[in-house]
Amino acid sequence: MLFNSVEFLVFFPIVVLLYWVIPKKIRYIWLLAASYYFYMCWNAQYALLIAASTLITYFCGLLVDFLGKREGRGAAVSQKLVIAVGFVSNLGILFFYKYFDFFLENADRLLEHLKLQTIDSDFSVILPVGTSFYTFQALGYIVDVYRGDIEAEKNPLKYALFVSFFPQLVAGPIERSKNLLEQIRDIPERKTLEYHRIVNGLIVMLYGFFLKMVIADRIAILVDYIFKRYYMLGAVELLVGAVGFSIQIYCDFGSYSLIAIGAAQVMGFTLMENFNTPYFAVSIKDFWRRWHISLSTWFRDYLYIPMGGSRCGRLRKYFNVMVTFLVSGLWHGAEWSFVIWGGLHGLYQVIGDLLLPLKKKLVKIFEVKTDCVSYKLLQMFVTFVLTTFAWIFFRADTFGQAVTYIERIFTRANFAVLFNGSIYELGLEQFEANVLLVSLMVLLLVDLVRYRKKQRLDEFLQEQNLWFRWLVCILMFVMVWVYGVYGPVYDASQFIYFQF
Amino acid sequence: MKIAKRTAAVVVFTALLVGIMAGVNWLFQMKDVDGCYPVQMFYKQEKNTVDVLCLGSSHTYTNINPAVLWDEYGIASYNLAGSNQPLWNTYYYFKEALKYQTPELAVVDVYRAIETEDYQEEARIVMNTFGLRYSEDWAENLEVSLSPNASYMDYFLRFPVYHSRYQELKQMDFQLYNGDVNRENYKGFNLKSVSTQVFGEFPDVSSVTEVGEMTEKTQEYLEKIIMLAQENDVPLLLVSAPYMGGVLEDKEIYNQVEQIAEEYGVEFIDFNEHYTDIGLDLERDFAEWSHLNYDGSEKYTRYLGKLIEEQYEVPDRRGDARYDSWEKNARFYEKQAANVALTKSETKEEYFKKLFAESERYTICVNIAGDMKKKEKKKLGKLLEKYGMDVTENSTWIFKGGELLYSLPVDKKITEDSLFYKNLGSGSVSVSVEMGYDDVRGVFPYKKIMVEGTSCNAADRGVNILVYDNEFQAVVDNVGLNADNNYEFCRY
Repeated sequence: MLFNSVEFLVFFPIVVLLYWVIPKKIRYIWLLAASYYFYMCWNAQYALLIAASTLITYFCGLLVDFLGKREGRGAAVSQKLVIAVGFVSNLGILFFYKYFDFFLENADRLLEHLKLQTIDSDFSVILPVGTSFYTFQALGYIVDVYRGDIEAEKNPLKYALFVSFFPQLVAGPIERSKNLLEQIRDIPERKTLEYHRIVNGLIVMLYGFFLKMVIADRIAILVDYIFKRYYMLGAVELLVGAVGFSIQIYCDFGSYSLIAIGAAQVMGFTLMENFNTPYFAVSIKDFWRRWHISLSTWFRDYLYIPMGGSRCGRLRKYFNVMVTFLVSGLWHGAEWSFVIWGGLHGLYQVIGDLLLPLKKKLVKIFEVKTDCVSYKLLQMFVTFVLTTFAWIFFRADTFGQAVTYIERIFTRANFAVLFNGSIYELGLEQFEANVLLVSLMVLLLVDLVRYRKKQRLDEFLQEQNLWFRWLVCILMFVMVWVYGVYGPVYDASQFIYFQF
Repeated sequence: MKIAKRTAAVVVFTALLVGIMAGVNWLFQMKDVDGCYPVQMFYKQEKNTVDVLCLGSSHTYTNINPAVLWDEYGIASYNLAGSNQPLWNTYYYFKEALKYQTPELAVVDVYRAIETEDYQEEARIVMNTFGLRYSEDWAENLEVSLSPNASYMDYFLRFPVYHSRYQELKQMDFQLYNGDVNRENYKGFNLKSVSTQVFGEFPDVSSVTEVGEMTEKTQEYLEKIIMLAQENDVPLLLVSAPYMGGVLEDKEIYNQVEQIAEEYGVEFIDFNEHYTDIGLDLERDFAEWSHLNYDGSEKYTRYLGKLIEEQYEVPDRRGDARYDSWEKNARFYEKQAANVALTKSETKEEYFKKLFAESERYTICVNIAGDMKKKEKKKLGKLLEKYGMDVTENSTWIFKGGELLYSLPVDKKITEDSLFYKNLGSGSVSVSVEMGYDDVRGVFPYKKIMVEGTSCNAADRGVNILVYDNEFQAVVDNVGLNADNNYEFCRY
C-alpha cells in the first residue's frame, strides 16, 4: 500500500480512529495488526519474512540480555555468538533476497574471465519491499540490548510492532529501539488526543504529499525523459536532468519520511528526523549529517565506530570511511553503480580531508573571508555539485550509461536550448514547468525556514496567525489535490527508496 | 472554553476545505455535451414532466430533435444519450431516469448493439458514466463498464480522473450551464452536425436477411432494457436511426434485435428501411456517414413524432405552464436553426436577405478589404446599398439590433489607434488600427474589426462579414466574399 494511494487514505483514518477508541492496553495489538495488513498489501507472503526476522531478533535480544546479566567469559562469548547468529541469519535473508542475483551474475563474470564453468542459474528472486529497512532496525536492537542501551523486550507482540510499525516500515526512518520501542512500551501512559500534536502531524503529512505528488513525481517526468535519451541530448539538458534527479530523490525520499513522521505523530509517536535541508550542506560530511540521517547514524553507530571510527590512524580512518560508504552504496542496491555512488561519497571525504591543509593555506593566502554568506554559498554550491555528480551514477541504469552521460555534459555544450524554448520539450511543457517552479519555490522557502529558524513547517505555522496557517494549509491541499501527479493516466511511480 | 474554540476551528476549517473541494470539483468535472452534460441537465428537469425519454448514442442526440417534437406534436421529450454509448450504459441511464421521471414512452436507439468489445476505452466510459449521480446503480454501472485492469477506485472517486484537466479548462467551465444560454430549457439535442455530406444512393437493407450475433454482454443489456421498461410499465420503442456507413453489415445485428424484440413483444423499427418514407435527401440531409445534419434530423424527428402520435398515447402538452421549458427550448432552437440556415445560404442575395431579416438579434460587421473591381463594385454595391451600406461613401459598417452604430468613410485617413468600441454584454465589438507589412507597401496601417477575439477578415480582398448573435453571445458567422475568387463565399 503506497502512501499516495486511495487505499492509504481509507486505511489511515480507520487505523487512527480505532486506535483512539480501543483501550490503551491493547492498542499495540491493533497497531501490529494494522502494520501487518499494511505490509501484506504488497504480498501476503512477505509477512512470513518479516515475522521470521522478528522472531530471530526477538529471541536473540532475550538471550543477549539474559547472558549479559551473567558473569564470566563463557557468558560473554555466548552473547557474542548469539549476536553473530542474529546478524548472520538476518543478513543472510537480506543477502539471499537482495544480493544473490548480483552475486551469481558477478561470480559468472569472474568464472567466465577465468575461463571456468559458469553457474548459469535461472534463479531470480524479488526483494520484498522494506527488507533492508526493518532488517537494520532489528539488528540495531540486538546491539542496543548488548550495549545495555535498552532492556530486551519480553512481549513478543510489542517487539513485533517495533519491527513492523507501519508508518516507517518500508522506507524508514530506521528507528532506534531506545526511541520507538520505549514509546511502544509507553502507549498506556500517553495522552490520546493532543490537539497540536495531531494538527502538526497532519501538516507534516500534507507537506510530504506535496513533495511527493507535486514535485517528485512531476520532476520525475523530466528526469526519466532525459535519462532515457541521454545519448542524444546536450550538456544543458543533461545538467537539467542531473539537477532534476537531485531534487527528485530528495523530495521523493524526504516526502516518505515526512508522511511517516506525520502519520506516527498523529498517533502520538515521535519518529527521528531523517532529512534536514541536505542541499544546504557546506561539505559532504555535513551532507551526511543531513541526508537519510537514520541510515547514516546507523552506519556510524553500528559499523563505523565499531571499526574504530576516526579515533585511530589516518589510514585506518580513511579505510573505515571507505568501507562504511561502500557498504552504504551496496545497501542501496545490488548494482555496481550504487557501490560507485557510495565509493564516490567516501572518496569525497577522504580527498576533502587530505586537501584540508591546502584549502586552509589558500584561504589564508588569498585572504578569503570564511565568515560570510558568500563563502557559505560557495561551499553549498560545491557540495551540491559533488552530490549531484554522484547521483548520476545512482540514477543511471548502468555504469557505462553514467560515464557517457557525464562525458556528454563536458563535450556537448548547447546553450541555445536555454533561449529557444526547447527546454520545454523534455516531457514537461511550459505550464507544467511553471507549476514545478512555483512548487520548488515553496520547497526552498520551507527549507530556508528550517535552516535559518530551525523550525519544521508545522512548528513555523503554529507561531503564525490563524488566517496564514489556514491559507498555507488550504493552498497546499489544493496544490496536491489538483496538481498532484495521480490518477489513471499516471503510472504510479513508487517511492524510489522502496527498492533499497 | 479551549475545547469549544478548538472544536469550532476544526469544524470551520473542515467546512471551508469541503466547500473549496466542492467548488474545484464543480469546475473540473466533465461537462461534455456528448456525454455528461445531457445527464447533468436531465436532473434539472421538473419531476415527472418528460413524456418521451429518448435513450442511446449520438444517433439519439443528433437525430431526434425535441424542439421539433414539441412544435409539431406537443410531445415533451428529452434526449438522455451519450457518444458511442454501449447498451449497458444505456440500461443504467434508463434506470436512473426512471427515478425522476415517469415517461409515457421510451425510445431506445440500438445502434450500439453492433458493439464488438465488452469494454470501451476509458475516455468513453467517463463520458457515459460521470454525468450520473452517485448511487448503488452508478457503482454497478461503473463496475460493468470498466475493464478488470482499470483502477476502479480512481473512477469511483472521479476526481483522480479529471483533476489533470487544469490545462484544458475553458471559459465555459467557469460558467453556469456551461455557458449555454438555453440554460435549464436544454433537452439534450446537440446541433453539431451542420455540415453536409453528399451520398450517391441509399443502401438496400432489405436485401440483408441473415441474422447476426451481438456480443453476449450487449444482448444481456438489451434484454435488461426491455425488462426494465416492462417492469415499470413504460412502453418501449426500439429504433435504429437512418445512417449511411456500414448499414448493410450492421443490418444482420438489427435482424437479431428484431428477433429479440419480437420475443419480448416490443416494437423495433429500423429506419434504414424508411429513407424515402422519411423524405431524406442524399444531397442535403446527412452530416457524414453516421449522422443526419439538422435538416435531416428535422425530417427524421417529424417522421418519428408522427409514428409516436399514431401508435402511442403521448399527451400534447402545448399550453401547459409546467411545460414552458419545452416551449422556450423550441424557440431557442428556432433561432439556432436560423443561424445555421444563414451560414448555409447559397447566394449573396439570399445571405443578405436572411441576415437583415434577423438583424434585430445580431451585431453585424461589414468591411470592405482592398479595392473592389469596378464591375463588382457596382453589382455588389447595389446589394449592399439595399441594406443601408453605400460603398462609395463608406468602407466599414457596424449594425446592432438593426441600427447602424458605426461607419467609416472611404477617404478617412486612419491615424488613431482605436476608432470604435462597443460593449455587447459578455462580448464587445471594436475597430482598431494595426500595422501590417508587405513587400509592396512596406509598413502600412490597416483596420482590424474584432468581435471578442474573432477578426472580421475571412478574405484578404473583398467584402468581409462578421455576425454576432447578441442573445446567444456567440459569433454566428465569419465569412468573406472573396474578390480573388469571383466574390464567392469563403470561410476559415
